[in-house]
Amino acid sequence: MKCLLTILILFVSVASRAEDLPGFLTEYCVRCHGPEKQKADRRFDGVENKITTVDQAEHFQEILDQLNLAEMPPEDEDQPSPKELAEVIVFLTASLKVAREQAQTSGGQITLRRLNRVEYLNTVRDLFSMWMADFDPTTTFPKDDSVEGFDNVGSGLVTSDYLLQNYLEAAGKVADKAIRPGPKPEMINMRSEGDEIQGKDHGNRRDFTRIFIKDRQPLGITQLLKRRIREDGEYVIRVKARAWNRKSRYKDEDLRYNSDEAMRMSISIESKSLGKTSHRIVKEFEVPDGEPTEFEHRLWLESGFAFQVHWANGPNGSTKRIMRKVLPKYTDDAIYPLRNPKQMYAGSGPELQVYSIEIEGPFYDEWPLPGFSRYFPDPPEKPDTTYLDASMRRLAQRTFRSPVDDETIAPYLELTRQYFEGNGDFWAAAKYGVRALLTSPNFLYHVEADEEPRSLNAWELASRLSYFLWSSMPDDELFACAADSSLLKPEVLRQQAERMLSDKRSDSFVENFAGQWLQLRKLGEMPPDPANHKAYFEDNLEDAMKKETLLFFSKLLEQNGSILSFIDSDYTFLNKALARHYGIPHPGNDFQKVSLPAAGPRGGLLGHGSILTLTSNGVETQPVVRGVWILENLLGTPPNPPPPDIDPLEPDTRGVTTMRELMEKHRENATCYECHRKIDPLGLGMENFDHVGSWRDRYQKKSLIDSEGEMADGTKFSGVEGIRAYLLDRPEQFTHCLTEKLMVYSLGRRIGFTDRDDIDDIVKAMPAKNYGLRELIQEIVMSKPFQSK
Amino acid sequence: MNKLPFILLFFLFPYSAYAGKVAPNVVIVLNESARADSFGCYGSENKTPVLDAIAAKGVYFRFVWSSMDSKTSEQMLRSGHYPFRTEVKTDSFKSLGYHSSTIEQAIKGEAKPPFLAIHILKGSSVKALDNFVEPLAKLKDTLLIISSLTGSGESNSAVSVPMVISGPPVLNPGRECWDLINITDFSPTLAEIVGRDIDRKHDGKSFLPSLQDSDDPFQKRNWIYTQSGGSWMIRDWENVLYSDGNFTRISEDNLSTEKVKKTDKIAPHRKERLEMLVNRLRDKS
Repeated sequence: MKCLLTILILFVSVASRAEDLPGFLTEYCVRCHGPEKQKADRRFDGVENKITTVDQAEHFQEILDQLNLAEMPPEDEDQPSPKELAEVIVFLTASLKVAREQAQTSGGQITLRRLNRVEYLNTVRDLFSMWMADFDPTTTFPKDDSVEGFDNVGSGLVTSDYLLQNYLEAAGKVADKAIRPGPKPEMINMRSEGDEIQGKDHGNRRDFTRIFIKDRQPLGITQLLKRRIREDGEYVIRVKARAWNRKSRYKDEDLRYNSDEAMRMSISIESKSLGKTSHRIVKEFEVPDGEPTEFEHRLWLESGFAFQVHWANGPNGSTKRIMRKVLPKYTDDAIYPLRNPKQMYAGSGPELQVYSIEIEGPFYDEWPLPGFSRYFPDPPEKPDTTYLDASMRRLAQRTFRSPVDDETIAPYLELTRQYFEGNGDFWAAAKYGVRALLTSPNFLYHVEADEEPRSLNAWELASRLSYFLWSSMPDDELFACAADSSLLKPEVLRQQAERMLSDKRSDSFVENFAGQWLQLRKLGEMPPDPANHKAYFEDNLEDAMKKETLLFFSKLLEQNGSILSFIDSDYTFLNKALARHYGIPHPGNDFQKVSLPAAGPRGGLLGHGSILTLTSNGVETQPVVRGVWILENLLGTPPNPPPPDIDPLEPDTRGVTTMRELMEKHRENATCYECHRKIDPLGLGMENFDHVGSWRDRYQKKSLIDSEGEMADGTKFSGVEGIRAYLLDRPEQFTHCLTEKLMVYSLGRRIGFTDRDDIDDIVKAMPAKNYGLRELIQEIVMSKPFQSK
Repeated sequence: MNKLPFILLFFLFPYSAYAGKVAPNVVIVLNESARADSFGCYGSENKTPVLDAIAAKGVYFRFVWSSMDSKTSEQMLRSGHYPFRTEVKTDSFKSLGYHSSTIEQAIKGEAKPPFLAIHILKGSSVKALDNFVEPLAKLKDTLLIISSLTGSGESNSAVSVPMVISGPPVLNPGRECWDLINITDFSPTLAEIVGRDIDRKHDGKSFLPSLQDSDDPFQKRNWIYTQSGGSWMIRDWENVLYSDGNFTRISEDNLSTEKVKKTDKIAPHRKERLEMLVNRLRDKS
């Protein structure tokens, strides 16, 4: 970067002289990118000296980038002299600058952008202060397409007939939940106790019910399981239980159980009508040995749900297995492999003994619910059209996220009034109105009032900011800043962004941005074979890996940590199972920050199991995918997709050849090698991590792993450490990459060459700000593209 | 924390429950026959206030098997062996160190403690039994066992007998016990209470853990067996297997049984397990 600046200053006077771009291209480029060969699908023989179209501008930009990175011409080709190179770079830079300035007044992009599924869900949540964990009206929505790796980019967010139908249905469901007039629902209290929780067994009466195995022996209140929760609300669940015989005569390996761990009890909820997908663990307790203890959990339950209690870390498998295969090892009277009576086992091994289960509720902090009374305050005995109109106006302002003029609201008022008059049921009419507002383009789309590019007004800026940082609508405070236009002041904008980043709702940013930038959502698409990877499934490593990366991102965000920590850092976040997977000691059970050994390979994203697993196919590593992942997500130089007619490398099932030997095939074909010389060294350098992110020194067939390599620019390196050093040597390249990704995500559109200056400015500003992640976000919020449309 | 004595107690308990304690007096009263559910405490309409009171401060058992005829039952009780072991004729109570006594001596307080009195009451009247045990219920420091030599009715009902026990070793009184008990188990129980070893070839198993409300199935029986002449029966909690090959399921009331049909939903291999157990038992003889 510094070098480029120097060149710029030196040659600014001769910029006009370098009109011989075609000559330069013919000399150094056209042999590979001309009429005969079009490597990487590029052809430069027709390139003119002047930028007249956006396509040409993109061409110029690409050539400039390659020259700046010194990636082209390739080492083994004739190289331009430094003087020639400098002239061309200056010429390209200057031409692009002019073109950009021109384009900004005429050719910027405005894309119509609807809310994606996550944004829809979050917006509904905040609009009506609803609990959405178990209420998802968007389950039938078609999946949002990703563009540039993000699913909130306008051009990918198509609207179909099918989606419109779904919007209508979803709006109906939301209206039914949100409009809850009338008196507070009556309290229920159900309780089940002793050994009748599950129904009598042929054994001595006890004042508890036994759970023998992990997860598969759920206990609930029979009455509730039949009847289910009828009213949405907050409920209190109480369970009295004790851990019994944690250490018993049975060997742990026979029971497939760990007697050293304290027993843990979990509570799950599930809705009969929504089926298995609604099943969710809501709470886990550690149950002490000895006397029974009463546990209490307060939670929001939707109607149709019921809860059950499980032993979260009991023996694995079934009671049937224990009766048939374990018991005979310990008593002569149990006969292998017959199904011996359960009474022979009850009381002899470890048990989670449940004394009572109870549920009470619903409780409400406020009634009517705040999400309802906000729009329908103090409803009169017989609400009339005046009250209806006023309520609809209140609703519309929030739903449309901006002030609503009479002309806009008129059709909605008319519709609702007609319904009320025809039907006579005020609350049915109110629901009808909510449905209408929730299917309005003003709600479903990020507002686009003008065709021409211009600066955003305060309301639009508020929405852009909140959808960037919260994936949801603005809250009261942000709306207030929009209403008095103070948000347009940089200091207020900055302070609001700070506040929003510290708010819990910024979890959505972490989940959606980091999840998509790093492709974490791919995790689990190709899981390893369950037979050989027991720990992976039993310890739920997939979720743990994902959580590690998200926690790492959150921490940097929270502390304004340097974004270079993504490349290398001396800590990460692990739970016990993941630490075991990595071979790192861990003091506790749950996720916590763990310092990494100085010489270890785990620092930074490249050591995260999530990244290493999602770039593998569940059976073996895929160096090409890993290489591309680094190029795309850390270096910001994604290679071109492979030609469509190419045969994939055949995997070596006998394991005789190493991955490196297989990859050599890429060298044989010059077209392949063009891209693979950049991809393969990176991927092969990571070979010490296997397909689920464990460290290995050798392949399964014992051949040693060779992680030495040479980058496309000739830099020699060794292993993942070498890759890290290489990346850290180019902080501006990574910063550029991340800035661009953030830009795409925040704007919801592709980055054009018109945004290039703004991105460059941000990248230049970062070293002075210690590369802080929060600062980077602030820079983006302050940038011109963010504040204009 | 003064945990040591507790831990010591815990380890010693199963082996010699009454080591160091004075052995309690024992009175065993058996009706010649009584249906297993004929006492008031089992839900019967018969008025048995004394037996009910004993059950209330003791334990009443649901699954106790004697034999079909009272003579064989008495033999099983005394010898602690199943009838097919024809060679064994000894009285297994003799070696336990009790002073033998009559009921009258026991009531009058003339028996030398610790004493053992076994009495068989002729007839099948539950009312008569209730009256008979009235003075016995007042005895102190006495383990009182009331049961019957035979049940009444056919098959399972004929060998199922009531059993009510009160006295010193009983913990958590007032409960119904669902553990499986054979009439051969009396002497091993007393042997454990006094801390004596008994003949290893004994067919009985001490039910002291059941009296003390142990939750450990490994200390208890998981099948019971009976025999009369050449026909035998064996059962667990849910099924009975007969020597003629019949295999039945025991109903909720524990006395009536119904034949297991192929279409019935029962745990697989239950019959095979009982077959194997009975073969093993009779092979050893």
